[in-house]
Amino acid sequence: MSGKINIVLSALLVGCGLSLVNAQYQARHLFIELERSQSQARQLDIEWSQLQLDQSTLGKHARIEEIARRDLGMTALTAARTQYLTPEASK
Amino acid sequence: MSRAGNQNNARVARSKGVPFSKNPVLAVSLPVWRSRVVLFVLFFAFAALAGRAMWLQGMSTQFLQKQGEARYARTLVLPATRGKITDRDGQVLASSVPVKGIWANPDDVQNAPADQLKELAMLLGMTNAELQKKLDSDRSFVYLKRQVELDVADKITKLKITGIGSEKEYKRFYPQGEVTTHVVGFTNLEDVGQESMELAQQKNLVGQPGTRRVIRDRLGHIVEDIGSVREPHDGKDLTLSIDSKIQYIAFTQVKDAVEKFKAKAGAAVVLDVHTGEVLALANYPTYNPNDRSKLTGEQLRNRVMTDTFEPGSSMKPFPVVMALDAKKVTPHTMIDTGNGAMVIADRVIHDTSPHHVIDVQTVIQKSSNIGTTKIAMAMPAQDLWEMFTKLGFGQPPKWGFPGAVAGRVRPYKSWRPIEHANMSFGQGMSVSLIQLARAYLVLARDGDIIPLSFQKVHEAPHGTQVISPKTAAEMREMLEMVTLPGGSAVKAQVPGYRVGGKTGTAQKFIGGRYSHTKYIGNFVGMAPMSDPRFIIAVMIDEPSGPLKYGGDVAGPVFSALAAQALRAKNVAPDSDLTHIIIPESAAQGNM
Repeated sequence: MSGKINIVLSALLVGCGLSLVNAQYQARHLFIELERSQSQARQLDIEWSQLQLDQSTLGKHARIEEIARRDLGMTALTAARTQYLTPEASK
Repeated sequence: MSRAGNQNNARVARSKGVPFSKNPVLAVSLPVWRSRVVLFVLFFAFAALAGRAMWLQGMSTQFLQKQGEARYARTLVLPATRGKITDRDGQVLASSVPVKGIWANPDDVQNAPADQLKELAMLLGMTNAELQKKLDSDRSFVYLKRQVELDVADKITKLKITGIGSEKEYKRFYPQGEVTTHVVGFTNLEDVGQESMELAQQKNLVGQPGTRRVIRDRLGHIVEDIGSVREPHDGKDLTLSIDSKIQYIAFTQVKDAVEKFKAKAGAAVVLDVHTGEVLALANYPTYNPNDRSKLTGEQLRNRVMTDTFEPGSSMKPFPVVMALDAKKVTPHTMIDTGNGAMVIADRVIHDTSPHHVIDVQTVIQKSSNIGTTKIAMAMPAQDLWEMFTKLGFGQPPKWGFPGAVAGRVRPYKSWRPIEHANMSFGQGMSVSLIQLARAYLVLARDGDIIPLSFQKVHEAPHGTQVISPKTAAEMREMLEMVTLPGGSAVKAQVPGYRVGGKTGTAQKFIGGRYSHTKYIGNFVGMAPMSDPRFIIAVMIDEPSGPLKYGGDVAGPVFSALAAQALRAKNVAPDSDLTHIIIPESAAQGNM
């Protein structure tokens, strides 16, 4: 009787040991994945702020004005050349 | 098991005839002390081992654990980024981007092959000689170049020159460059704010770097976190009150005016009447914050905040509203300004031309010194001083902007009568342009004053009442007359909109006397008049062309700035386009 229990318990012990190894392995894997995702997040963050900077640099009013005037031949609007419409409701 | 053993012994004993323990070979009699000695030696040896084990486990365990950990655990610093600065619509005005600082240990680098050093010099953007000069150092650590962009730094690392290393740092970029720099400021190489909002908000902008303890394997990969992670806290983003559209308009107008009137400098500030936000603050000359190698004090000077000047006639509305509020006069009270000269004590006050008997409205419209003096002198000096103090003149500003000056208003007890008169038209005192603009908030609003803000305001602040709403409305009417035909600043008119304001021209005070060639022209106005939305203050320092007066140099800047700002903000015109009389030069300024 006690022999049988011993066998069952030692099988259980081995099982537990193996599952611990497996769990540790899984944990490491997930950890690596987490690390990778985090560094990707950081990278994307940097990229985002870089893009924001680019947007601001390219959207500089001085640049827009220069392109509009020189390349597109546009001129600034004046009130004298504007047709103002009054919505019906406010009359 | 034991039964089987006994059987074996019995069998051995039977085969040899004697039991093993009775074997005669074993019967050699050894001295008893020998076994004692062995016993004691063994005992002490074990005791020593046990003692040592106890020592290691008990006493020096902490030290050993630390040593063990040091062999696999590393503390990583988690960097925190400095917060961004954006304008009110979220457009980035300043942002930090990771870069690398390239350093060298000169002794190690000297042995590197020449062609590698040549390539390094090329990547660093310097000549071989310059690189050699940096490497000819006795120190064991020299920066070759700081704030190198990441892709270049990667190429340098790939050269694998011994003794060359890189470290992480941040570089701050200012995409709007010289346009916004006087508001935004800049940081130094260590990411510490040096000027303007970068300096004022340093505490909030700077990040808190975090740390984490990790276990690393042989290849440097992170295997596991140990202990708790101290999260890095990035610096808070800062949303300024600046509207980059209006800022750009203000900047270009000031720049054009300084060039057109051959002036020494110019400045403009635009305030939001409802919230007290600073929508634009422009200075010229200016500088590019991304390249500060040739920075001069003239460029750095923030003339809106840190320069004070004699405001001149732009102060006139304040003694007049005081008299209106005290019911000493009404807008139509007649005042005799005589033939354009008036003697107070032994000094003479002049008007530009004789106006004779005019009403209060016309005093403001024509900017009569004598008229204003007569109105102001009817009230005690203390009242005028109190009014100035309530408006913030001579008071150190508390808007969180470094270097903002208080200006100078002497205590009323030391005023002589001529000074009382002078101060009523803005002489003998000094103010900054932003103080002047803020004081006009009282006139543009319903007589209350609110604090200014360089950060975006989410709910309108509560004002402190200075004058009655009725007085403010009466003064607005007079200010509008200034820009209408007959007024002193017709060039400030804006086609399609009703505007109002007041010019000011002051002779510069140089070497103890007023200069007759150097002037400061200013104009402070509001638009649109039907429901004021912006206060615009313009200052042109030392115009050296034929035009010198505030109405001529600062007026057109106001006009152009207001026209474009109103259009940019989609403010509906409140004036009939066909009825307005547009002076030729102002109309051109709008194109």
